[in-house]
Amino acid sequence: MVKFKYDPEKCDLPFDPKENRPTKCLKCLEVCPNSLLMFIPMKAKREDGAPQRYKISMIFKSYGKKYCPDCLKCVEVCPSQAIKIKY
Amino acid sequence: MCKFCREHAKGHGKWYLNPEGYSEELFYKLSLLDRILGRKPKKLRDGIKSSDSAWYPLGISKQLGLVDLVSKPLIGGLVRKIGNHIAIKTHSGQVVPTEDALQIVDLSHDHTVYPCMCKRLFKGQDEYKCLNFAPLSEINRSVPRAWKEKKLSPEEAKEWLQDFGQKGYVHAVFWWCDMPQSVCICNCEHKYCYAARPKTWYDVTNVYRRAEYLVVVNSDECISCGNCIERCQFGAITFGSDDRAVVDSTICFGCGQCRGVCEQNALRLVDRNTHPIAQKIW
Repeated sequence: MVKFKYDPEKCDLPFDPKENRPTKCLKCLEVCPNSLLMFIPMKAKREDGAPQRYKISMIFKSYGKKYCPDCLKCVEVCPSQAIKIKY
Repeated sequence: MCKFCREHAKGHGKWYLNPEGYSEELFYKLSLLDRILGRKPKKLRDGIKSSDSAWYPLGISKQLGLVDLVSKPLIGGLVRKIGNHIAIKTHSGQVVPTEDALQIVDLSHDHTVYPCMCKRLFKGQDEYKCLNFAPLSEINRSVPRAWKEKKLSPEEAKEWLQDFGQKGYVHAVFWWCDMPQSVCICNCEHKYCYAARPKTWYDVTNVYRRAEYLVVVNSDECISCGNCIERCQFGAITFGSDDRAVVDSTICFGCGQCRGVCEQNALRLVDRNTHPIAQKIW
């Protein structure tokens, strides 16, 4: 069984008001072959209702484990070592 | 014929060819409670609320968390039933081949194209491929936080659809807030599609229905080039024992995009209802 561990303190995904989403990095989303990773907003909000920061999360957790090909590309590509996969 | 067409086609053949589904009257209809409280119609309120997902996709991630319950052993079957029921009432779609997508453009008006939500969330990229039409375009325009749009004339919209077909994207017409209100044509790639994966992985069938068609191969004309196998996003086509392409009718979605790459024109669409196995699989 795969366990996806993510440390939001190491990874910084600020809100980009021009694009209405985080634009920084997001390398882990690009490399995932089954697109199991997604950015979701964190609790703190800006004045206009938009979130201040985002975090990365693995979706479809039960089946995600089944469809995760264990390629570890997301771990390799992360520049700040925020993602860990445990077995 | 799937149950939606039986209920909503009203003599037009398919539910999405019924002009009623494109009228704004149906969309802005006020219920009795709305009139008493003096508020906006439900669909408009929902639209404004869901435009938050441009920057706040927490709702979507919660829904995906709920879909995950389907794989749990005891409650899984019940959750799947409830999910199928909710899907009809909210925002889900059916695959259509390019010919039908072009007919839908003729029926609708006020075409705009938006970046694909799924690609934004799961790949962090914006690609303009979600074709919206009235009344959804107007709602998106009225909410300043919504996506940046590109306005298209009907001719341009048809060109865009044919372009998407050449790239192999699957067209799907989506209804929103109860049938038969159609609001957009998605041009999906299955690997990051937020509607297709609950269907293929979790079997929540009403989220993303198969088309009214099915692909069949004329094996006399097949030259075993393998282009269609590469093109099929669902993995429905394989080589048979005689090295000719074979379509698995239980997997095929009937999008018809494999026809574009076949140089021999060996593939064609047939009505799903005439096929003995596929007519029960939607």
